[in-house]
Amino acid sequence: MPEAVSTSTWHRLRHTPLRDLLRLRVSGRLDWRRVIQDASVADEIKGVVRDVVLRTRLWRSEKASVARELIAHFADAVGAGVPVDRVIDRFGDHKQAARLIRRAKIRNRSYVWHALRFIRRAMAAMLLFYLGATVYYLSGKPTVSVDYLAKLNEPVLATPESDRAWPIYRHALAIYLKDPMPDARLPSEDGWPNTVAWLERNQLPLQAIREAAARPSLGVVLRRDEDPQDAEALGDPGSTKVGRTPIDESLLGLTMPQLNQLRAFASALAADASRGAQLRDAARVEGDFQALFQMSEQLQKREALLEGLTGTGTRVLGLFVLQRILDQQPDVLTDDALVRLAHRLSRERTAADLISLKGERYAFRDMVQRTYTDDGAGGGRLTPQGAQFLKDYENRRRFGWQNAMSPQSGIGAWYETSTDYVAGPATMMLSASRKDLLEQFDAYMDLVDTRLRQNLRDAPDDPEQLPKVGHGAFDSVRYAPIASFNRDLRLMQILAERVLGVQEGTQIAIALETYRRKHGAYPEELQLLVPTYLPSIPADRIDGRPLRYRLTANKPVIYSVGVDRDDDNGRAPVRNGKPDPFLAGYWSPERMVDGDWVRFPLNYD
Amino acid sequence: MRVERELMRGAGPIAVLRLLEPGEKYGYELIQSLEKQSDGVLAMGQSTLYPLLYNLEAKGLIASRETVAENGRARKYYRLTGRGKAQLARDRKQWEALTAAMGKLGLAGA
Repeated sequence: MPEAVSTSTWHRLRHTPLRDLLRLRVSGRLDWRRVIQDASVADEIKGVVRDVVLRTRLWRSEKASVARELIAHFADAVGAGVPVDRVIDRFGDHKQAARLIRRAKIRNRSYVWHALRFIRRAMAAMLLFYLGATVYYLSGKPTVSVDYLAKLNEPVLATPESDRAWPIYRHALAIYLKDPMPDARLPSEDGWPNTVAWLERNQLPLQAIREAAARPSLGVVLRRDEDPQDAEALGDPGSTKVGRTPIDESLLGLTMPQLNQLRAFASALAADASRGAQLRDAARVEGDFQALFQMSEQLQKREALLEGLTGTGTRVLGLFVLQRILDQQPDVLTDDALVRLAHRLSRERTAADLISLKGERYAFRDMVQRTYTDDGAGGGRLTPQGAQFLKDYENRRRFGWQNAMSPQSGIGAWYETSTDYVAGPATMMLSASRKDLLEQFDAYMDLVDTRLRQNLRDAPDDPEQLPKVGHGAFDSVRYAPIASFNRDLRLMQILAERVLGVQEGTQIAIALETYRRKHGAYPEELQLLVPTYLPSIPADRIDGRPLRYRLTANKPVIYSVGVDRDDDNGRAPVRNGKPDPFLAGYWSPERMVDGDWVRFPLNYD
Repeated sequence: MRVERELMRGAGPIAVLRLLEPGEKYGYELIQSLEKQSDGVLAMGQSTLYPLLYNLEAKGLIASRETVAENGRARKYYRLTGRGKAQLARDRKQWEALTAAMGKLGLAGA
């Protein structure tokens, strides 16, 4: 039965090519059904043509062209006297014919069409691939299998209780906090009389601090939450952390409130040393300095970087006050005290003696196990939880540890979650594998460890540029966790070098004082101190030659030539109207400071 | 005699190009010529011929034009293009070489 084809104007309009419409011709040329219907051939032939053309699934214009051609062919055959059934029989398989016609006609389409088809298929393939990657990404879960906090605490727990300092510090803390020290730290500061009164009232806790400092180990067991005994000492009912995040559970979220307390103790000891010097109480002065440096050593033995840095700060506080006394009241300390202090200050030589990176390695591995899957063979991939962890960590680093939180509800949370899930698979594919990441990190830290054992001047050409993982945009994304974790270790080495520089200046100052007491005057040159008063002259950390020395108004000045490597005769650069003894010791290719790095005496104002 | 499809796949296009060499022809005319001039060996149905023609047209070896025949019906004529002529010349040489080789093997008549 022939198919009924509409004859309406609208139908013809719909089947007219644009070219004809622009010429105001409603040709209806694209109506292939009409072409077949209007053909002067048998209905059986029309049926064959209709069936084949329909199966081609070509564009209307192509169908119309094929319909016309097939109709013409059948008509020619019938016109040549071939019976209709034979013509139909000789046509061949409809499906195959339609398939072959379609394939051939599609080949004939324009390059633009083929390009667009390729693009569509490529995009579909990419979308399919990305959907698969999304499923793969979402199925990943991190596995926390190693307790790195326990590893950090292993040395402490292996230490006998009698060797641990913290229980005594805690006892001092309870007393100290009831009566906090006033702000003045030096006799030259306003409010010093209040500090003096406080020091006299608090000799008991100060003695406890000295006893604690004499113990070989700091003895603090690091915890994720507050130690109940510390809370009791603080008079704190105990804080309950609300809404702990994965970061809080990791080593990165570890808080060390004891460091603030130790800094306060160090300030108290330093102030007491100054007071002891005023009273010419040699034992008190030496006791305070020994405690300061012992406390520094306790902290430097620890494996967390922050503890090492606090120890370095404690050390430089002690050196500062000691230099001040050596400069202004050198007779206060006994000869034996000078020898003992010189001995205590002779051990540290490089930055590696002041800070440890073991805790950093643990912290990074802890971060990785909380962000990556673990395939049991060292490999693994970034997980959704991991991406969120890294994002939260980066936000906290930039905006403050307490403030930066992702929105927890509402449209903000929905937006963040959905964009995270869309971008997450791409992040996973771009990120290094767990194995590769750890290998890169270990290689980086091994290099940093080596650099910390060198003097900065012996480091490669650019002393400030410790190796940076992730050169280039691609590597920055690939190794983003390492870049995010980066503690700016180059600045820590610079800081450590400055502390060691002050320490060397202090050692020489002690040796000069000892010489002066023996000979009645300072030596003309530093070499005269060797070997009786100093095993050797420390090298200038900038140029490697012996440190410089001169006498000004019969007072010694010890200095390094500074980063400009120009001997300015001990003249320190000026900052904010005052000489800054440290400024010329700051390694920086961009900042060539004119002046010398003065090691003794420092500016005490 | 029916020729295997794989052999036909190689011979069919060359045969069509050869038939168009003297001048343009329409679809039914080509089918008739193929059957007649090859003694039925290269006979093919519409379902094979028209896809073949469209492929040759897509490759630029033949071109078509639509016209109205003397019987008033629309008819599409196909002709060889310059590219088609060059292709035919190459194919001709290859077939001559092939036939000669087969002849030496005793597979083609003298």
